[in-house]
Amino acid sequence: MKNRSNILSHSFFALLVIAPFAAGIIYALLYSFGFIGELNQEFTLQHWKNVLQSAEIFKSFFFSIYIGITSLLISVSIAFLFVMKRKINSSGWMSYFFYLPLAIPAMVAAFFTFQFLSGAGFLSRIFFQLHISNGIDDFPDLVNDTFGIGIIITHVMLALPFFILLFRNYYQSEKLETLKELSLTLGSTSSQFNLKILIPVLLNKTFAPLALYFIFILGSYEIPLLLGQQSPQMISVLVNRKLSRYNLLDIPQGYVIAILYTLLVMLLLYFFIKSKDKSHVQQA
Amino acid sequence: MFSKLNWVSRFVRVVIFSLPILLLLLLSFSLQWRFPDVLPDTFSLGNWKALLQNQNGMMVSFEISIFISIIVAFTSTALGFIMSRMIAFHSKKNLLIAFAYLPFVLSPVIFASVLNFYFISADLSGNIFGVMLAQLFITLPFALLLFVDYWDLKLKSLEDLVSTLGGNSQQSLFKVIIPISKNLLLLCFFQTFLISWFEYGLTSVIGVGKIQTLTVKVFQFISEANPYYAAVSSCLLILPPLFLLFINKKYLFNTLK
Repeated sequence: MKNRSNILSHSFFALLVIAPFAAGIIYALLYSFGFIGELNQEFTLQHWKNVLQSAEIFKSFFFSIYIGITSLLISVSIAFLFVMKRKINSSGWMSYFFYLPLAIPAMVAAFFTFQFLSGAGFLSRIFFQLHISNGIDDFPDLVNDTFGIGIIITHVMLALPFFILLFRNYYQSEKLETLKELSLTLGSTSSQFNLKILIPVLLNKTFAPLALYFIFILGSYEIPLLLGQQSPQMISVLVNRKLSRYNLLDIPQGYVIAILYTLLVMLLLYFFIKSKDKSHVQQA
Repeated sequence: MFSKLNWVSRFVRVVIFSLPILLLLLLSFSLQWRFPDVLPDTFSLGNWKALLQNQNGMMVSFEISIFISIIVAFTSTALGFIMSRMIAFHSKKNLLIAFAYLPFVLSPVIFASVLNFYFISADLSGNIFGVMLAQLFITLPFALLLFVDYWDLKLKSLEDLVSTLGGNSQQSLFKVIIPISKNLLLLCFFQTFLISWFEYGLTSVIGVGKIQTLTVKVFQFISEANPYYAAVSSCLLILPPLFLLFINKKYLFNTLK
């Protein structure tokens, strides 16, 4: 019975976890090297050359990495401030409000940001009534802008409660309050405790979820789709645009970008799993 | 004085964290909200009535989303629980875990794009079963990763004890292991439900716009420049997670260790 269940588990794992990923990558590779596809006739490296020489694609990768790092840095820094000031209640009705943004899907969060920060948005209306701005055109571009401000703000809005709760959990489990009292008794200042104990301990303990969150932001789709601009686009938006265009010459390039993105994620995942193993060894 | 300041600071934080929901509610109850008005011209139940009368297919989208999410969550929780046992005691556990991470962390829209050919070939594109299968490809790895560390020597000893006392594998699973694991099973069910419920990219690629889940509907309303219906659909999208938050906060916040 157990053997049968084991064989079934192996088969399902191969069929539902490994096969889809492998099949997708094989198809993308074959398409990108010209073996399959409408306009492809024989093996070619042309699509890879086109992509690797394209400034648009490099810009897209750098833009995605920039959005990922900036969103993460801002949300982690604010979450640290919350934990340092201990402005969160672990229980009681107040704590429910910290969870609220976790209930918002990316699509809705992007829609909210657009309604709140666009030229005709809620903030612009308040600025107009307060005579700070003269109307829609006078309000700064905070969505669909060059620096991805709207995208970053939305990611921070979604990530912030997650990091606050994550850090708070580790603050309690690592007994940092006791450590703080001890360090203050031994003559250190609050800022010394924060810089030399609190931040290093929390960063070390939460490195794995932070890395995972960075990978998620890198591949985010709905938020840059609604709040991004035509160029540069984040990787997911660019790949989907290339693959769903009527220009058949764009399709192999879309698959090349998808493979490059997958390689980048696999590399990040390798470091993530390594760091996880290291922290398991440390705990043991 | 301090207590007053404390209350003001609390109020400000409450407003900031609930601002998205407040603005969406405001939009959903308005028929016209022109610039530079800070509040809508008129408040009305019209958009919500349209929802109940299934104008623009919002109610159907809600039902499709519920159906897809429940099936996907149930299947991935059940399969994930059984399959994670195999991974937990496998000699190549770390390698299998790495494989499980890949589909879960890849961008769903890119994953769907490279798989689209197979779905079209198998006639699963634009089909509700195709969308459910595609979603299972990302929710199942999540369930596996959630359960894999749960299987430890203590649980294995319990299985061995049932076996020593004359119980078979089925009895051990249904009468001992599942009852003591029900909290984690529930957590997994709700988390995979939410992954499926929030999913847009993969659903739009595999569903090719024919499977109109609520997220697809929100995007459609935004593209049609109808923020009022988009706000109503958004409120519907937020309802299940808010309900989960109300019954137990931990269903909404979980980190894979």
